[in-house]
Amino acid sequence: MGNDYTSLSSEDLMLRIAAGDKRSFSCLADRHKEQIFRLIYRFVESKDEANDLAQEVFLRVWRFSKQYQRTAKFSTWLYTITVNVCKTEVQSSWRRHIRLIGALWSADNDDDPKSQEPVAPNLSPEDAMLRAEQHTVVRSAIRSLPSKQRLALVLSRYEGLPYQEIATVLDCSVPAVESLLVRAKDTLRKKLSSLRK
Amino acid sequence: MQKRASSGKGCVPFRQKLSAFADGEVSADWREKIEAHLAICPDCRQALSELRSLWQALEDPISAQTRQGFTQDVVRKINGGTQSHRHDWSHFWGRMFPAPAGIALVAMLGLVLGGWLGHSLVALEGQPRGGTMSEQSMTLEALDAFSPMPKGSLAHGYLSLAGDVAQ
Repeated sequence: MGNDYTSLSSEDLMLRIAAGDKRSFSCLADRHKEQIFRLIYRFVESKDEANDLAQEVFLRVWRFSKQYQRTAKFSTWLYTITVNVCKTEVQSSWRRHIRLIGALWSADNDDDPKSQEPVAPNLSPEDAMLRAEQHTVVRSAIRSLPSKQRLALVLSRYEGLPYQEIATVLDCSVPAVESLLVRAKDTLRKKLSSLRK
Repeated sequence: MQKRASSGKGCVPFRQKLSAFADGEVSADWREKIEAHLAICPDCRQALSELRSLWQALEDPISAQTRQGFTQDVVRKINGGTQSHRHDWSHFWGRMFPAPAGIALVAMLGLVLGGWLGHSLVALEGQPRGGTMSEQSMTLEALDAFSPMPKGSLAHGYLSLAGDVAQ
C-alpha cells in the first residue's frame, strides 16, 4: 500500500486523522492552510494574527477530528471551525485591548515593507500605489462591517460559497444570509462610492 | 413598445432580491420575474449595475502566505500537548472579567482601601466633639483643612501611627 496522501480526498484524510495519523494531518494542513489564512487575513488586521488564528483552526481540526461526520463536506466543516475562531477572536475583550495597544504601537509602521502586499510588476509606480491604496480602503471597509456581515461577505465574495453553504457555516437560514449580504453591500456601496467615481 | 415601470412601490420586492439575483442565488421563478421587471425598469437596472460594479470594486487578491514552517509548528504543538490552552485561559478570564468591569472593580477597591487607611470612613480623632456639621464647619478647626497635614488625612494618620505627630 502506497503512502501517497496527496491523492486522498480531504474527507478520507480526516478518517485517518481521527485515528491519530499525523502524516495525514500534515498533508491536510498543507492543502488548506493558505485558503484558511487568506480568509482569516480578510477578517483580522495583521498577518501575524492571521497566522496564529490559522494555526488555532488546525489545532481544532486535530482536537475535534473524531467529531467530523463523513457525510458532510470537509470544506464546510473547516469553514465552520474557521468562523468560530474568528468569532472568538472578535469577542475576546482581552485580545481587543491587545489589538488596541498593538495598533497604537504600530501606528508608525504603516510604511513597513513587510506589512504591505507586493504590487503587480506590470503597473507603473503611480498605478501600483493607487491600486495598493484602493486595496487598503477596501479591506478597511470590509473590516468595519459587523462580524456576521463581514463573514457572510468574505465567504460569498472571496471564497465563492453558495448561500446554502454560508448558512450552514454561520448556523443561520438562507434568508438570513441574504439579508446579511444586502446590508453588507449597502454599507460598502456607501463607503466605497469614492473609489468607483 | 414596452411599458416603462415607474420606480416606487412596485420595485420594492425586486430590489430586495437584486443582491441575490446578482449572486445567481434566486430560484428560476424569481429569475424570470426579475428579468421581466429589469426589462422595463431603468432604475432597477441601474441598481443592479451598481451592485455588480461594487462586486468588481471588491477585487482584492491577497498574495500573503502562511509563515514558513506553519504546519510543522502546528504538529509540534500537538506533540507537545500545548493545544492553545493559554489562548483558552486568556479567553476564559477575559470573558469572566471584561476590562471595563475589572477596571471599575479595581478603582472601587482602591477607594475603599484608601478611605479605610485614611480613616475617612470611620470616626476620626480630628473631628470636633459634638455639634452639627454646619457648626463644625464654622469653627476654627475647619481651617485645619489648609494645614500640610490636616487631621483625618492619610498623611496625618500615617504620622500618628509612626508617633511623629502630637495627637
